[in-house]
Amino acid sequence: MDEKVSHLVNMAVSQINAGMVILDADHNIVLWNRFMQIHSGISEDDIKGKNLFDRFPDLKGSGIEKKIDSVFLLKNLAFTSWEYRPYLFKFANTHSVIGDEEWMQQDCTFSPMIDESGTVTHICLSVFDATNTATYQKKLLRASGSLMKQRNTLAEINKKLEEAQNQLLQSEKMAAVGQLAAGVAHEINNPVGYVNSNVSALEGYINELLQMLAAYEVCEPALDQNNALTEALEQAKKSIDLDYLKEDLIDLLKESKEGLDRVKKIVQDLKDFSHVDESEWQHADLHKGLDSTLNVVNNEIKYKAEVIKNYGEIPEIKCLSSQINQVFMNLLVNAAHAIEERGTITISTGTKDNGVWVEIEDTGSGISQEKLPRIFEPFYTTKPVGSGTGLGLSLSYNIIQKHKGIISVESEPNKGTRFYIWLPIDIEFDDNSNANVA
Amino acid sequence: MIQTKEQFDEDRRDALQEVVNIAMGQAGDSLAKLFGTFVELSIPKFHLCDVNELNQELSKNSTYAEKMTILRQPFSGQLRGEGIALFNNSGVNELAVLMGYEGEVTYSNEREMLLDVCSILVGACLNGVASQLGISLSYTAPTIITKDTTTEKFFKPESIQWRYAMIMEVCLTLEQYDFTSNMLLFLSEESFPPLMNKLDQMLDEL
Repeated sequence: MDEKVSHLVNMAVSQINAGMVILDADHNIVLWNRFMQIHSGISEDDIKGKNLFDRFPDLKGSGIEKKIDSVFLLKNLAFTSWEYRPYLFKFANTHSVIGDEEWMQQDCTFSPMIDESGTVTHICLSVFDATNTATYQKKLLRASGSLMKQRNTLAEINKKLEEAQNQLLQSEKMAAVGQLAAGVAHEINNPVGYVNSNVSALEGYINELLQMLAAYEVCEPALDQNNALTEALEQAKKSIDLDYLKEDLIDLLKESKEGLDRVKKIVQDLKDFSHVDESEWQHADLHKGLDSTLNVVNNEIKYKAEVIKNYGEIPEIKCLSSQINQVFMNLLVNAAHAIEERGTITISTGTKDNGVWVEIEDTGSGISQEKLPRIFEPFYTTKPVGSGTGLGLSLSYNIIQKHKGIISVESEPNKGTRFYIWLPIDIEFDDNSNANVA
Repeated sequence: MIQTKEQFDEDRRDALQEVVNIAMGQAGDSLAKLFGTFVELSIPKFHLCDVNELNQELSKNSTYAEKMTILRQPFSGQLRGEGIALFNNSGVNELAVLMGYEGEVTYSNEREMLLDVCSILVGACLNGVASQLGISLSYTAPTIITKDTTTEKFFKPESIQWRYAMIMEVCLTLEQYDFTSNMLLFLSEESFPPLMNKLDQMLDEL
């Protein structure tokens, strides 16, 4: 290389806007260009001939020795990237006015300097300022991180919204069913009322008629035995089977009254269950709620299971009884559905920790361990498409939550399932807004 | 492709295998010195394959079905291509000691170390070949492309630019440390003519 070119190369090494360091086989510094001098504040004279690791002890034990070894041994290139090692040399940030990186972010390359015999005699270390890239990259990362966060928050809100909507939908449906039930109950109540009073009056009249008949019968022996009239009387008695009629009349009346009582009871249960005019927090007897719910769902249960009641002594609790009844109904219907042929449903109650507990246990098919944690999720259903909305248990869960109670489940496949509910006797609200949510 | 397959005849294949074997021998020595432990480098296998046959070809090696960290280092010069290093994510802590990282292995340390190993492997495989063939190569800094994926998911024919390439497959094992890395060197199609020329020159000199 002629002198002029050699001079230019020296100039280039000095002026290039990147750090250049040349190391010999003992890691001693042979060259330290202008970029390195300016940023480190160390002149070339001060550092020439000094060992790299002595002057920069932080580099020891951080894998740099092996990088250099690999370059010597394999004639390889070795690299560091700001992403994993922000800097090799701790230089102040070039963005001294506006910037958030404290230290200059660096990308470095170790290159082999190979002599004519093919041996690596020196290593050229180049240091590039990557602060710009790093700053942008970090900003991007932060931005995408906060976007991701926002997205997750949105997703969560959406989920809550969906749940709230489902609950609203379901409770509206239940309210409509309740209103319908109350309307039907009212409509039936009227005719049943007058039929009932008529039957009572009828009973009185019939008793009086029967007394009258008895009085006539007493007079019978006084009639002329061979008279044609007497014979006609006997004929008439026989043809209508008077003795049987008298007996049956009483039975029929009694059965009719029983039937009417049953109708009245069903109407009362429908009213109790719907509680259209009781959507406020009131003290209620859970046994009453359980019994009226049992009557309402009797059709679903009676062919499947025998119901065993182990009622303990429990006080009235403050609750939205129509909603609690809805929970009982969901659990009882589910229990009946879980039973394939015939089984038992056991309802137990008792008190515990200032509250009342209710257990509903069935001898049905049970729920597998994988499915158990999911049963309270909305839209989760094991029933065939179209049979269940997957909302019943999720709704029950929300209702119990609203009552600050506990609902839990234990189940064993092929043995059965037991739901446990605990409700506080006197619910206390943090603020009044909750109390009005019906 | 057919033409290239014909060009890559038995003589040339033998010559290349010879060159590569010598290079691997040297590389193995150097790696053993570097790591201070016994290093096993497999005999390189060559595949000349169409991009659509790539996954089928790779599926012959069952280790590629596992989830791996995948790194890439491009090289250029008379031979152009990319080295793809595949790590199965085991033995990383032991490797850190061998690579001179002291203290706890942080996420950043681990990443940098894998980049180091990728660079070392690509260099070890290619430098020996390049010097025997009398060509000069330049390397770009390696990058981590993906972690926890299989080669089949990684090499999607539609996202690969070349139609066919020569693949050289080498496996590095540090037996004592339960560390394995597979290296796939992809040589692009425009590298075939210069490579064939260089091999012919070597054959002529014999």
